[in-house]
Amino acid sequence: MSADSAAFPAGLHGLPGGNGGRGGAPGGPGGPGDSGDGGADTIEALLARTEELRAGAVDTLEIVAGLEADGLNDEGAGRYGYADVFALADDLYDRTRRRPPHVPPAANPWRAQAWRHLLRGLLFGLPGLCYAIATPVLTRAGTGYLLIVSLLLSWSVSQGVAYLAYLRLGRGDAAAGKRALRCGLVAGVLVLTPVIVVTGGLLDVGGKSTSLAVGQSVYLLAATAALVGGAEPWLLAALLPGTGASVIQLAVGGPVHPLVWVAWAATIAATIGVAVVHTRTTQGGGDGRRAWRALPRAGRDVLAALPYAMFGLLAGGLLTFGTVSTLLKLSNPSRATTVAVLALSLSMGPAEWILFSYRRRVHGLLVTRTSMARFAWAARTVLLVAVALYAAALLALAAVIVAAAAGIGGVLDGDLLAGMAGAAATPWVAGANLGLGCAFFVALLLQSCGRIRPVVVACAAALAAEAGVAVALGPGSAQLAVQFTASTGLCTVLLAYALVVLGRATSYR
Amino acid sequence: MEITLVTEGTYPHAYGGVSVWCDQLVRGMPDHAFHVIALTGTGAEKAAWELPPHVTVESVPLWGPPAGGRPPAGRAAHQFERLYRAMIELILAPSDDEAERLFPCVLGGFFELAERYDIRAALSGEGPVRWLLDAWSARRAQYARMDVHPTVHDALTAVDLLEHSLRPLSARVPRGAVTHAVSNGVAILPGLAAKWAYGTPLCLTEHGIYLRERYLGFRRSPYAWPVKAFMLGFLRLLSATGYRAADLVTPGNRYNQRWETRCGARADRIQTVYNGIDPADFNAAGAEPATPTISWAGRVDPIKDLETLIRAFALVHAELPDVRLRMFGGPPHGDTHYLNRCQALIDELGLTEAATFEGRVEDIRDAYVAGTVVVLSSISEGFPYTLIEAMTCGRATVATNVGGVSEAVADTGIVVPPRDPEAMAQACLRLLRDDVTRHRLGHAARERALEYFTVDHAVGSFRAIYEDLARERFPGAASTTRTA
Repeated sequence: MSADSAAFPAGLHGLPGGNGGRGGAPGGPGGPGDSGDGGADTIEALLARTEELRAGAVDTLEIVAGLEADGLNDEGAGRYGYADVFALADDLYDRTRRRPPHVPPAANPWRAQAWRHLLRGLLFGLPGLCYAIATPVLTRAGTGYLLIVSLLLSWSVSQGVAYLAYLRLGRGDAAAGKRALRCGLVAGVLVLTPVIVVTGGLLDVGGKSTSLAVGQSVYLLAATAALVGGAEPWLLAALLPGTGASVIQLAVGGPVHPLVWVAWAATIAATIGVAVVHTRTTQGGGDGRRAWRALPRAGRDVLAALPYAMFGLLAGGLLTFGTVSTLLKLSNPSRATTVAVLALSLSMGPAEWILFSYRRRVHGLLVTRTSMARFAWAARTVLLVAVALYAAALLALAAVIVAAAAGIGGVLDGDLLAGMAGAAATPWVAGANLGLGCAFFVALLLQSCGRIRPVVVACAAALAAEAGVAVALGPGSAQLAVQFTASTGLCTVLLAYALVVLGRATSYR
Repeated sequence: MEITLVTEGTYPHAYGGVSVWCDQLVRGMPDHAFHVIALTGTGAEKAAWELPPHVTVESVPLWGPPAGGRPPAGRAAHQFERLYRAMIELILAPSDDEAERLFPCVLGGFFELAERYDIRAALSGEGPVRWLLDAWSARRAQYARMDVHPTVHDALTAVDLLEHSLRPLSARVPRGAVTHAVSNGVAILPGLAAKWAYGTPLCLTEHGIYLRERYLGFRRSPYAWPVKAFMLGFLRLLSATGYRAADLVTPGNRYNQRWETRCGARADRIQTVYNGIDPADFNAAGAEPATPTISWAGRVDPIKDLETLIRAFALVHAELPDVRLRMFGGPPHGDTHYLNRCQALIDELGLTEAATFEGRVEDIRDAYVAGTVVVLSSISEGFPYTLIEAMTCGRATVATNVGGVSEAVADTGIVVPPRDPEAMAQACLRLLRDDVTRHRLGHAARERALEYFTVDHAVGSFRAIYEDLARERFPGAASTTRTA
């Protein structure tokens, strides 16, 4: 018995025809209730008509609201013998066994599109072919530095811009998302190109290398806009000239034909075209006053994007650390590094796919588990499974690359796994990159759950420690062990952190 | 005098009846300064109204980015947990005797914490999710009997909705002479904050009944039952707090007082203030149309129950074949389902020539002028503008007895039960056949509207209310609900 009904003792035997004392209405000629389908006025008919309302009502006021919205007023309640709608609703509520209708859960928002994710992996990896033919240019230390500077800056800007765009898309403002991508592309090119050119001048690497570095930067910025804009197939098409020419060049061998560079230039131009077309907005950018008023919000957004830009920079730093180390003559170059970096690039496709299936599974847990403890344990299990899956995918990719390279080994002029560092280096390099790949994957999961700051801190600490120890130790074989320790250490720390925070429901808002 | 006007999702960012009312109110009192606290969605909404110079606006987005301040720590964190757990217990049993009395104390406790900490961070933390699951789990048997099994996702959803709802409690409120909340619910929170911080008197105006609309809204929502029950429990207690804390409740019609007193408003602190229109926009309609016509104006929406109107018209048409039915207005948001259904009914009843949808009209007055009799067939209304506009034009009306309709019409028209085509048809026939009565009622309706339902009348009422509140003519009852 609820307290509500106690306040209205009239209940079933309430005053008939109570009208709440509202006067002034002359009333219609036809008396109420004596017309039309009079049978509908029995309490049984009312019970039948309100079955769903009563079964799902959270309290008696919900029944009052439902009855009133259906045109039943105090006068109408009077016809059933109640003082008013409240008294009627009290009684209806008390008579009913609560059986709320089952609300089908909303569709799981984390449906993966396998082809899209795998294609994205391919798109991350394909540009690597450009470096394969550029090897003669790349061997010069200055060029190597310049390319790495260009790569780090471009990644950093791309990550920040991508976050900004997703932030706006997430607010349901597609036009603002596209504007962010386009502005990011323009601003990125305008800022980074002079920086790269000046750096090239300082390093005295020559026009060819500088062009290569600028091209790389422009491609990365444009490809980001195209990828966030959902133009994967178009980006693949844009990549065809450059990758096609490179494959032919590799098959034919010999000095690089000038047309190959023309093909890559065409690819970059096409990528810019795809980016521009896919960030076109139908409406204008808005008038100046509105843009001015939107500034503080835009400022907040840019501030929020900074950690993502930082992550881009740090991830680039960790990934290219081995290369920088060889350029600084701290360690000998290992061909295993090439395999590892290529495998890592390609693996970002499966990584996104596994991320989606992880989120999908956790969403499934959220909507089925009824206790926090059970949810947390299940979510952690799903996390470990996801990391294991990613590690397997990365290893499989590396194996495929090695096999493929062995298959066309003659063409590539020598064993891919041999190198100046020798075969002994391979386990260290492989282990370091496996650790790094898993660390990046866990970082990706954490980012997707809104935990970017701790990721940035951990990556910064790992990179600083790695660099500090490497410089302190000086040249030698211990360098590879340092890289291995830094990568696996970072992976362990991030995984431990993820096991804690990804067991929380609030990580999945 | 400085008035803090609190709106939710209306003025000055949206069009609609309540926004029109707010605009009339502030423009009617250019000698007072109005500070509008507008509770909005994301905060990116654009202003839809041009603000007069004596009006300033501060937007408090309920769904904008979260705050990044300092959450309660140490003892304050324990205090927060105690408050939150207590609030959950009250929300899960809002009908309990003590719930309405204790809830303001919990809100007051949150307000005190919010003065020192960023409670939004704590409200969106993991703790509340766990505490809600704990409370649900303690009621497992009760829920199992209903075949309800609250999940982690339900808890997360409910906690998030609550966090957004409580954001206005952390909003900075200016020190005004009076706070005027233009609806109950979350719009009451800045009013409570001003009352607790400065003792500012609070006036609560309701055009509809906030809580009733939320009950209906949640019935159409995709939320699982535990989430719905949690949020409605919260909103019920919040509304009760508003009714109890307000120094004066001013419903837009007397019919709504039933809900207000039921949910805690004291009868002696309720004063009905009717909406008004500008009589200059609705001159007397003059000559009736040559063809006897029943006219209707409004949104083509199921709540207007045009099917009853069409069926009633079929009965009228059988008796008086010359009569026409003209319906003015368009479907809401371009949703033509209901319009099509009504048109199908017209065709089925063989009224295709006689009953027509006329679409929107530039000047709504034309819709009233076009009718010999103006009809309102709604199954639910607050205090319908359509009716007082038609009355101001001097047309006799037939309207369904819902909400404040009978107060508006009184004895200047005929009020019939809702969903009753026969009664509606009889009323229309009576007016169409009896020129003397019709003209007499039309004149009386215009006189009544000009006397009671003008903008000037409404603005004058609020001017007096502000002065009385500022002079503490309504001693605050709930001004000391803070926790110790």
